[in-house]
Amino acid sequence: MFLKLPILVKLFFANEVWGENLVWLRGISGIAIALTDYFVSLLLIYGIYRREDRSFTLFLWLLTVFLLSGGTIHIFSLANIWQPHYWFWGYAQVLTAIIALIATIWLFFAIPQVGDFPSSQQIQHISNLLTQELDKCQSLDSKISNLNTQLEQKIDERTAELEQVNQKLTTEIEERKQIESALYRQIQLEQLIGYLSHCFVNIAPPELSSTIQKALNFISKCVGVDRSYLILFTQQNNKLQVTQKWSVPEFPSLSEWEQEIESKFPWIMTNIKSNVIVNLPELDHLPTEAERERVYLTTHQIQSLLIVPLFYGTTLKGIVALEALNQPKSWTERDTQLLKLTGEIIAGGIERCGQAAELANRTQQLEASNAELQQFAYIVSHDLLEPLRSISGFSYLLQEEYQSQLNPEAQEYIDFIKDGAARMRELIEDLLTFSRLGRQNLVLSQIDCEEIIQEVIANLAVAIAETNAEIHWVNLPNAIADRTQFIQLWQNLIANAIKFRNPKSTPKIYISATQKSQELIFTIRDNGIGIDSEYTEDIFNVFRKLHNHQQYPGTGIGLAICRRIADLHGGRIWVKSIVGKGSTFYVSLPIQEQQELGNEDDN
Amino acid sequence: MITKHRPLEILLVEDSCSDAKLIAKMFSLADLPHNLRIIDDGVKAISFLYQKGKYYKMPRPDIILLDLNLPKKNGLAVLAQIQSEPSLRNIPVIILTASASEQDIRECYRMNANCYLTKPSTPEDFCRTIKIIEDFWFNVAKIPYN
Repeated sequence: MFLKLPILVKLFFANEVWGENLVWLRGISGIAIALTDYFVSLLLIYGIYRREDRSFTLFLWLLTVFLLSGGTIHIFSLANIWQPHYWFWGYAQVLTAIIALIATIWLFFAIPQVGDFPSSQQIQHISNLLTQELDKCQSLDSKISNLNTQLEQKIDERTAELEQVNQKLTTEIEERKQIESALYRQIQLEQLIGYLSHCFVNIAPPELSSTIQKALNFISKCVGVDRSYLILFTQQNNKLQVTQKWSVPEFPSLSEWEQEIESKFPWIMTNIKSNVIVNLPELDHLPTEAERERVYLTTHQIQSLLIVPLFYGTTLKGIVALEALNQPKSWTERDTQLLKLTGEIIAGGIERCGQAAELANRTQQLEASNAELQQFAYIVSHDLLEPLRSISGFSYLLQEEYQSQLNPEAQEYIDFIKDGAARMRELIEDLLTFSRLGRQNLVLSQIDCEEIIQEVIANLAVAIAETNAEIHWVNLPNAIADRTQFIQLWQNLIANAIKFRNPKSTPKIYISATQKSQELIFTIRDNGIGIDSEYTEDIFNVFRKLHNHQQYPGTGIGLAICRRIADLHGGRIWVKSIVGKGSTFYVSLPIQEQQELGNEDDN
Repeated sequence: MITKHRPLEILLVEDSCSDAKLIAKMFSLADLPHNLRIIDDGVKAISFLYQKGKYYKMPRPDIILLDLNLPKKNGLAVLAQIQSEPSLRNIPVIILTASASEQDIRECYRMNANCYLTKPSTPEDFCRTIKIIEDFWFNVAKIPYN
């Protein structure tokens, strides 16, 4: 069956032991095995390097070496046919055996592991499972990515919403802030207005100027202007005359507002007179007829101007003005309102001040004329005494020195002169006392009324002794009064009670005092002739007498003096009486005054 | 008590003629040798005291009765002048006036008036007051006597 090879080849393959055919057989199979071994080992080496997990690497290396050495054995065994170097073949065999042994030992230990190796079916199964899992994973993944997209959408929506809310909040905060600042300004404004009205409500004329200055300062600060001023006018001969000026800060060019203001500022004054606010944020707003004003404003570098007229009732009292110098200022509603309000307050204050000054002036005039009158009364009464002294003095001397030379009729005449002079003196002295009451200031002090009554009784000792009058009193309190006047008061009342006694009985006088809520009331009751109720008020007037001089001598001033003393003490005097039974006089003193004066006294 | 080598020199400065007459009358009733000189205004009173003009022969008074309400120069001014002049300062000055004003009283004593009397309004009281002046100043009190 073998090919008929050339002789040489035949020769080459044939030896004496091996037949040609056997050599062929062995040669071809040996080469094929060796080539296969080498090829497989090369594949293994390649596989080892390709595999990443490298499990069984040692075993594969052993197998590779085993195959290589197996291949080599075959080559050697072939070569041995012609060259009997058997040692090489033996070494290869030993090497192969060692490797096979090592591999076998390794396999022995690695068998359980190798057993774990999944079969291809298992791997297929696993692969299928994995594929399924992968599919699941992929579907999950797509779901997740779906969800993600949704989430992102939602996030976008929420962000947009949040932004919207945020913007809304920002707007709200801004609005709040605006409202707050408006409120703050309002409060500030109210405080300012409150403060100003407080300042101006009870303003005294001397404080007016400084208070207006203060008010201008406040307005300037509140509105934030460079200059503010206030000018007062009076109407004279149908023309406005500037009377007073204030400015913050000091404003030299205010001298423009001096005279002839109606012709200097015709447009402004027309507005002001018709109670129209002059609101000029810029000079461009000036109408063409306001040429003079334009010149004035430009000359003084006034950028913006706000003038509010000061009216009290229908009378123009003046103006308040605000000026912006550095840059134009558009006047807000609040500015005009503030200026208007403060203007009204100031106008009111100025008016009240004027009234107060006028009132004070009139009071002063009245007081002066009153004092003059009292002085007049005093001087008149005083000067009347001097001629009276002559009359009475010389009629006295006439009687003393020439009595023997005068007939009874002449004597009687002299008596009339003397009597007339005596009555006149009494009258003048009472008038003097009366007028002195108004001229002298009250000297108030805490007085012991019982002690006062005792002093009065001592003064009236003669009359009391002559009439056997009885005077009783109980628990008279202390009072705050002018001691001298109080003695006078009680002396007049007690003397009257004795004078107007009932001729049929001895005079009995009872003095007491009661404390009411508002006043301290003293009563003096007598058992005298009484007073007709018709005259109970009349008797307190000067020169009012109910009886002629012969019946009851007296000037008719005593009770007028009592009333004046009561008046001067802020109290009252009145009488209740029954004709024939007696009279009760009441004197009241206000309690509040008593306490106040008492406190002063303590101090 | 006055040693009487000579009549007592009294200067009465009083513008009311009737008052002066009354006072003179009262003094005349008293048992006291005296010369009463009556001067009716403040300027003349000063001239008298300085012995000027027609008063150059007039004696220096031992006591002065001075009214306050005087023409030309009032009593207070006269008093002030007397007090400012060392030679006159030791003459006792009695103020005899109709004024009962507290202010006048205070002012007179502040200017060293020796006593302040108001003219009583009844003739009886007037006589009594003049009598008291006589009694006290001429009989009881010691006054410088030149």
